[in-house]
Amino acid sequence: MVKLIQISNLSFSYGKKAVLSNLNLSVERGEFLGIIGPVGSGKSTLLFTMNGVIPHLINGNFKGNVLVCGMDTRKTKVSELSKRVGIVLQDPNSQIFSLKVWDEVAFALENRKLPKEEIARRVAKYLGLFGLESMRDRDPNNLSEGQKQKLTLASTLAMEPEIILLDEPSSNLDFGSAVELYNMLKSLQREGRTIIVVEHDTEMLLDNATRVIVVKDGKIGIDGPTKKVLSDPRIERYGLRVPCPFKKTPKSLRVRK
Amino acid sequence: MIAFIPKNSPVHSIDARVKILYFILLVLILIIKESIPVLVAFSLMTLLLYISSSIPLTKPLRDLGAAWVFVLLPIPLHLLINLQTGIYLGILGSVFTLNLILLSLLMIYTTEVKSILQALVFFKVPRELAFMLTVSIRFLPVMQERLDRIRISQAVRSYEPAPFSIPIPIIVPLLHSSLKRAMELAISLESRGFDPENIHTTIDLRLNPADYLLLLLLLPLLSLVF
Ligand SMILES: Nc1ncnc2c1ncn2[C@@H]1O[C@H](COP(=O)(O)OP(=O)(O)OP(=O)(O)O)[C@@H](O)[C@H]1O
Ligand SMILES: [Mg+2]
Repeated sequence: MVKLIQISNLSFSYGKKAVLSNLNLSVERGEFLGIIGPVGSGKSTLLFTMNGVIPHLINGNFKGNVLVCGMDTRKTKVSELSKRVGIVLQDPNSQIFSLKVWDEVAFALENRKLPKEEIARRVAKYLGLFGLESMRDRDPNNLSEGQKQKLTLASTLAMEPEIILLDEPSSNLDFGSAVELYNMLKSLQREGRTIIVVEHDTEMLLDNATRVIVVKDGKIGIDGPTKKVLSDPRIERYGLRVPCPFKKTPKSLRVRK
Repeated sequence: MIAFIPKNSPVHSIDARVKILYFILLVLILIIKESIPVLVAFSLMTLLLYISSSIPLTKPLRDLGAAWVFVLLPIPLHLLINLQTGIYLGILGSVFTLNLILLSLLMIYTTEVKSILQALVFFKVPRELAFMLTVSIRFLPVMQERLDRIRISQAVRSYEPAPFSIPIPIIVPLLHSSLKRAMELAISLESRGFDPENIHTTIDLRLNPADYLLLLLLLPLLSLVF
């Protein structure tokens, strides 16, 4: 069977030091994949290889093959790939560019030349899902960080892509909004979409992801079903957060004999 | 914030294309006919334009921020060249620069970014260039806010720029974050299906009777220049 995303022998470096080295990964349709790893381990870089931003927009040393929906990312334009893959970046401030909240969500849909009524319908729907409908005419620059984050999420989800990439989408959200976001992603997954999310909050992944990979030293260190990976003893050794159900008393707090 | 300010004024309602033509012409007059009467008339006109646009003049003066340095720069420069006439020429230079900046800002305050883009495309400015220009106008307020934040974050770490020195700890992070922003914006735009080689802009600008009148008036003004 053809995998939705097939990464083989991928190496990438921005400069001299390799960020990803000889990495292999395949993702199937309908997976909810969580990516974790220490700070600077290459998680964002890995996401960027999945929609052609690397190698098309970011320069560096790119080796190996990435196939997305059967398309070789090296030979396909980012705007072409964007019809199948949507991405939400880490920093909402650098993504927002319209002068009105409404226009920001309509942006991708206008690029796709969807009919006007369809654009209006989708913008209303996704602004509603994120509770932003009352702000439709406001300047996005004046929203709070969390509201901006919701706006970038609405803007990407409104494209209704088959594959949704998210880079730490809950980092600016309060707990309630983060749970809502994950519920939304979960239901998108049930519709048959593929969700790939970089997330520090392992508890959120424990509740939602079907599979988790750990990026470590430019490779995939651990890979498997969510529970199995998150209860792996190496998680703590890598400095990652062990989700509550699997937590043991930290060494430093244990009574010494 | 240096950004479009929605208002219902005569200046706002002028077609973006007419505004651009007038802007170019006025700047040309200012440069070619450099003299005190022209400068005075010009300053009065700038003042009038601000009044009729119902944007208080304090707004651009506050928005200028650190750019005041550029406005005042001619004074020490001219003083360096000639101590006697320097102050006089320097002030003229400053008024000249101030007028240019005020007019550019008025353009931004009273014209939607979308209309500026459409007008540039109408005048056959290459689409990529037009797009870059409008995006940079769009990002002025973002940069301003960024600058404020950097200033605060350096100040809380006891940084105080020395007078008449280049504030490296403020300029370097500002440049760096602007470059990073620009890069990430490009990523985000293309990831949402934007294709820079294939920008489609529909021009839905419409000329009003007042715009036609202004276009007619452009002709006698042109003869002033040549
Ligand atoms: N544009 C760039 N130029 C040079 N080096 C870069 C660039 N972007 C990232 N790097 C380097 O590549 C490595 C991986 O970065 P990446 O952003 O992928 O990490 P990450 O796992 O997403 O980290 P974080 O959890 O902090 O978001 C880091 O060591 C970083 O310093
Ligand atoms: Mg990252």
